[in-house]
Amino acid sequence: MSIVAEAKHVVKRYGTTIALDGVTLELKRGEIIGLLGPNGSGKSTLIKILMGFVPPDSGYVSVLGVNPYEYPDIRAKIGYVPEEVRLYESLTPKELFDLVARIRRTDADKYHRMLETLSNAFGLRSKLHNLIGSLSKGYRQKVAIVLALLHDPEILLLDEPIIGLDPVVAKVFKEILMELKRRGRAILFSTHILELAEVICDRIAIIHKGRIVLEGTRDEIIEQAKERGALEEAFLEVTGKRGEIEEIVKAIREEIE
Amino acid sequence: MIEIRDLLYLVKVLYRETAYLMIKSTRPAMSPREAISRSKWMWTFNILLAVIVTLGLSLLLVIVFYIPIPGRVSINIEDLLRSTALSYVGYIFLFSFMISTTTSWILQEYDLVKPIKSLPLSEGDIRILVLLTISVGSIPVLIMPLIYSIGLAIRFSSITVFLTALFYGILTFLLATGIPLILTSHLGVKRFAGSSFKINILRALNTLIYVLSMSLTYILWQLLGRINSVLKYLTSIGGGLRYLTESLLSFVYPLSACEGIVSGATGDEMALYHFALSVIYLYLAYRVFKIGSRRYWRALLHPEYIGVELAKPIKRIARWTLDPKIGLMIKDFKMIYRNPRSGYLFFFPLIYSIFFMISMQEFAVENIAFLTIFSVIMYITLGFLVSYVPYQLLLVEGDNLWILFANGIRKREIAIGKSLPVILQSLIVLTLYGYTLLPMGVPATISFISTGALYCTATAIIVSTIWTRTIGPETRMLKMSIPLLLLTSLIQILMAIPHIVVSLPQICPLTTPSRGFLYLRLLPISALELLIAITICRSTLK
Repeated sequence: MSIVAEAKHVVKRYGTTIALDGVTLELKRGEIIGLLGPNGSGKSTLIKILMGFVPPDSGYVSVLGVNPYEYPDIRAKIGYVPEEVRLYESLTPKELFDLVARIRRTDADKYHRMLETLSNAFGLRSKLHNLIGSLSKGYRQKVAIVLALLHDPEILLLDEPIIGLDPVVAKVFKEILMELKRRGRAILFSTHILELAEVICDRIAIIHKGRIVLEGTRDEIIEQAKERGALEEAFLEVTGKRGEIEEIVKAIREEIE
Repeated sequence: MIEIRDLLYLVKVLYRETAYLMIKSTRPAMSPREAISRSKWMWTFNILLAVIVTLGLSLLLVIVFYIPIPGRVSINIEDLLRSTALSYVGYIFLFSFMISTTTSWILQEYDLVKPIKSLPLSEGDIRILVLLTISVGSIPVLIMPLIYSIGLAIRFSSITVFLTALFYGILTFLLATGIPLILTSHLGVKRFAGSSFKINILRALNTLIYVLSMSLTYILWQLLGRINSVLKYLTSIGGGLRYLTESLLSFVYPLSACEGIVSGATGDEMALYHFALSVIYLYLAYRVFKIGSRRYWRALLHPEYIGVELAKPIKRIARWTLDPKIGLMIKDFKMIYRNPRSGYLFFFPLIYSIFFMISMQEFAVENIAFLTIFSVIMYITLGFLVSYVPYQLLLVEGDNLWILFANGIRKREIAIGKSLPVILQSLIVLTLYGYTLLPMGVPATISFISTGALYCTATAIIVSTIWTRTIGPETRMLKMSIPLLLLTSLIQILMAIPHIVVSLPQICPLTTPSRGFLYLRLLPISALELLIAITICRSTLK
C-alpha cells in the first residue's frame, strides 16, 4: 500500500504550549487510522497540519506528494470534517454543496449523482432547501460530512465526525467509510468513541501531550499496554487517566456519603 | 405582574445585549471583553446623548420664534413655522424609526427573548419588557414635543397650537415605533422557513427594509432638502388642481403637521379643523403602534415555521458556474439578499452614490464645464465607496472561511471573487448617472460608464488583495488595522491621481479639445490600472 499522507517529527507550538512534539505518522491507501487521545492532546492540530491550515514549526509533512501548506490546491482532493462545524447559516445545504462543487470544479454530472446518493443516505433529502440556520446540530453535522464526501476524495481527514449523529446515521457513515476503504481511499479520523475505533480501524494511534504514545493494530495496542480486555483499558493506561478517574470517583463517592 | 424594579433590570439586560451585538457587528475585531465593557456604559451614554441632542434641537426650534437672528431678512412667520414643524416631525420620526428598527431586528434575529421565556413572566409582562427595550433608546425624543409645543403655545398664546404640536409629536413617535414592529414581525417570523418563491421574496423585502431603514438618515436628509421645491411646485399648480393640491397639503401627514401648526399659531378659521385632524391621526398612529406591538411580541413568543420538510427535486448545477470565483459571487449575492446586515453593507454604497450623484448633478448641470470634471470625481468617489465592498463581503464570512480553504480555494480567487459584485454595483450607478451625460453624446457616455466600471473594479481588486492577504482557514473574523487602512487609502489616492491629472484641464474650457476625447484618454488609464491590479493580485496571493 502506498503512502498518501505522512508527518515526520512534526513539532507545533502555540506560544509556550507544545501542541505536537515530534509526531510521526503515515497514512496509506486503503487504510483507516483512528487517532485517539484526551482533549487537548494534539489530535486536531495534527489534522489541521495535514490539511495545510497551519504550518508545522519543524518536521516534514506531505499529502499526496506535496506540502499542503505550500500547495493549498491539494485540498480539493481531501475531504475534511472539522471538530467544530461552522456553516453559512443563511445558505441552504444545497447552496453550500453547490458552492464547494464550484470551488473544487467538480464534474457537474458526478456531483449531481453523489448529491442524490449521499443526501438520501444521510436523511438530508427533505432538508436540502431549508436554511442551515434552521437545522439542528445533528443535521449540521450531516451537512459537514456530506460536504467532505461529495467529491469522492482520495483522503478523508475527519475530526470527531460521529458527534451529534443518531445511531442509524452513524451506522450508515461507518458502512460508507468501510466502502471507501475498500475502494482504496485513505481515512484518518480522531474520535473519543473507542468502540468505533475498535470496529473499523486498521490501525490506531494514541496521542497524548503532543506525542504518539502507542501505535499499531487494536490487538498490538492492547498487547503493548499489557492489559486484558478492551481498547479502553489500553487508552486509560497509556494516557495515565486511570488514576485520575479513580480519584474523581472516590471524591464523588465521599461527597455523596 | 412583574415589579417595576425587576422590569427595569431586565430591560437593562436586554438593552445591553443588543448594544453588545451592535458593537460586535460594527467592530468585529473588538475583543468580547472590551465589547462587554462598552455595552455596559452604552446604556447611559446613548440615553444621555439622546437627551442632550433632543434638548438642543428642541430649544433651537423654539428659540427662532423668540430671539431675532442677527442679519436675518424678515422671514414670513408662516414659512418659519412650516420649516420648524417639518424638522420637528422629521427628527422625531427619523430618530425613533432608526432605533426601533435596529433594536427590534436584533431582538428578533438573535432571539434575545428566548432566555426570558422560561422565567415566571406572563405574556403581558414580556410584552411590556420588549416594548420598553425597543423604545428605551428613543424615549428621550419625547422631550421634543413638550418643549416645542409649550414654546409655541407661549409665543403665540394659543392652546390649539400647543395641543396640535404635542399630538403630532406623539403620533409621529408612535408611528415611527409601530411601523418597524409590524414590518419586523411580519417578515422576520418566517425567516428560517424553507425555500420557496414567496419566502425568497419576503426575505429580499426584509433585507430591503433593513437597508432602507439603516440608510434612512441619509435619505430623509436628502428628501428634506427637496421638500421645499416640491411644495413650491404643488402650490404653483393652478386651475382645478389648485383645490386638490391645497387639500393634499392640509390632509396628508406629515404636511398636515406643518399646516396644522401654522393654523394653530395664527389662529385662522382652519385651526379647529386641523386640531381635529391631529386627534384622528393620533388615534390612527396609536392603532398602528398597538397592532405593531401585538404582532411583534406574538412573533417573538410563537414564531411560525412554514415550508419545512419540503423535498424538492435537486436542481442540476450549471456547468458555466463551476468556477471558484463565480461560486463565491453567487454565494455572496444569496447572502446579501437574505441577511439584512450583509445587504446593508452591500447596498449602502449604492444608495449613498445615487443621492450623491443627484446632488452633484444639480450643481454641475448649471455649469456644463464642471459636469465633466464632476463626472470624473463621481466615479473616483464611487470607486472609493465600492472598493470597501470586498472588505465587507470578507467580513460577513465571519468564521466560515474554513469552508472555502478546506476545499482548495486560492487566496487570489477569493480576492477576485469578492471584487466581482463591484462590477455590477458600479455599472448600475454609472449607468444611472450616465443618463445626465447624454447631452455629451452616446460615445462619451459609454466611455464614461466603461472607464468608471474598470476603475471601480481595479480599486476593489487592490483593496481586496490587501485584505485577503490577512485571512486564512483559521481566521474567525477579519480584523481591520490602522496600517492596513492607511495603505488602502494611499493606494486609492495613487490610483485616482492619473484620472485627476488628465481631467483637470477640463476646468479651463480653452484647453478642452472635446469632452468625448477626455473619456477616450481616461479609458486606457482605467484599463491599465485594472491590468496592474490583477497582476498584483495574482503575484502576491497564492
